[in-house]
Amino acid sequence: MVVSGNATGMGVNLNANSDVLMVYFEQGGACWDGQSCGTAPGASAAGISAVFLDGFGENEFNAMVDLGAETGVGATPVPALLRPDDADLAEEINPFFGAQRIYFPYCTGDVFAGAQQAVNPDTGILHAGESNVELYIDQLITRYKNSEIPVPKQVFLVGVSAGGYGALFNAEKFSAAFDQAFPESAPIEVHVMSDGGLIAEHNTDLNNTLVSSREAAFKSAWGVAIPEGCIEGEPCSSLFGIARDILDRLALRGNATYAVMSFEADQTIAGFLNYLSFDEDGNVTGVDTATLACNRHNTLAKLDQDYDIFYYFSVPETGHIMIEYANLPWVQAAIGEMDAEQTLLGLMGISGPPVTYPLDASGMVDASQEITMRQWMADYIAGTRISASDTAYANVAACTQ
Amino acid sequence: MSPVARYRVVFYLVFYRSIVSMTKMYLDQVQFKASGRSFIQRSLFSMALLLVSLLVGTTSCDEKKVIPVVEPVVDDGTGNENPGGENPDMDNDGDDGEPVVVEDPVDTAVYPVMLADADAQWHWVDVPGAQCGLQPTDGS
Repeated sequence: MVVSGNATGMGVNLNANSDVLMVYFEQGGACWDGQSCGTAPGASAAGISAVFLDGFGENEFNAMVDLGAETGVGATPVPALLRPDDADLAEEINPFFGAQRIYFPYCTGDVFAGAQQAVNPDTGILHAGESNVELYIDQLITRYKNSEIPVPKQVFLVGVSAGGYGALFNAEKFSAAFDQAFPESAPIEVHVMSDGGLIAEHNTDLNNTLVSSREAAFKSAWGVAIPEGCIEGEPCSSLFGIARDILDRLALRGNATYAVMSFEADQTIAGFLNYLSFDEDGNVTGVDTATLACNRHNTLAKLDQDYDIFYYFSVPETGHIMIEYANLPWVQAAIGEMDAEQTLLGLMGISGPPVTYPLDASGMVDASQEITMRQWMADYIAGTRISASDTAYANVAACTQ
Repeated sequence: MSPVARYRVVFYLVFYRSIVSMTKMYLDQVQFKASGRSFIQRSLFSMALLLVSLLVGTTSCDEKKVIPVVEPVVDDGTGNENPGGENPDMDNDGDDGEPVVVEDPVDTAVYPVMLADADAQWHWVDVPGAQCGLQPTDGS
């Protein structure tokens, strides 16, 4: 029986004049044991690696979309994709301006992949992120059935960091529920856009054991199911294997796509996936972004080769997410001196120093063509889908050994 | 008796009394009958009664705006009949031997917010059953 003591919900902003739906899966780290969840005896607050475990409700949501809180130098703006349509700069910075929008909060520490029905005694947390998504979907379908809001013809599942994983892991569930509820619209067109939710293959590197053990901890803590017919320990049981299984089924739909937005050197994901670097004595010295970058490069290339439905926007710099906050390097350097408007425009590469990246067409980099992230997203939504690449990565040879 | 019904009874009594009074006054004038009160006194009394009836009627209409109208339910054997039904189960607790009917909690939960959906603004919606990770430890 599901415990009941820390209720949450979702944000709703359904424009009756649109038949495009954007579902936003929120970010917020993850936790997989008593230390990272902060529930172990003596666990320090600094060691907690997931947010809002103790609750996310109306007050937290209203504070996040509060336009009054984004005034002044260095103020945190309302996330671009959540910006109300009648707010200043909404049309300039939000590629989903005018669309129907839904916000899925994240407060379960499980990248929306947990299907636990009770508190996990090892983590002290109810990892019910996937179960919550099922309830959100049911609620959403009920709303469409009981209102004049048009049932969407296109759905974009957009996730940031942990939400980027969640958008992919729940894509088929979302599609199936809508197909069943609205058979006249089936199969519904679904596009997954994952910002910073990098899933990299890892079977040749020194970190393989470390990463595998971390993934095993994820699956155990959250109750993640491996693909049917797959044996635990085989490559198909890794996060990459699970992702491929989902991609296989999305590809069969004929009208689904999967896009990854990713930085070349992602320290956050390196730490999350347990990519560690060591000194000569075997002591941990930090996170190993170089190995992750190799795996990332090979993974993007492999998915690009195997799936026509796969696209990416890849940035050859250090960073984690692009959509929501000031992770772009030039923004990060100047954020303390910029007002909210400059920050908002800078986040989407609209003003300030150029934030443009070469296009990758069939593996050939054409440096004469460049595109901003905002334009790339807008084109993607409109149906012109391309990959923007960092295939000039300096250590490609070392990655392909 | 519900507040609406109570207002209706008062309204009808006062309104009826004012009509009777005005009719009597009219007959007095037409038939030139003598009475103990002057014409002005009786007119003022009748107008006061009419004013009170209108005020009560207006108040009762305002009340009806915020109180949901309960339509009579025909006894359909579900155990959810209204008190006037043939086999009443007034508190819907199943003591009439028929199944208890429970309304869909999802529908009732979302209805008030759905009215605001089309305004293209953000609204928070509590989703029954959705839970954050850290559960209360006080045993509740």
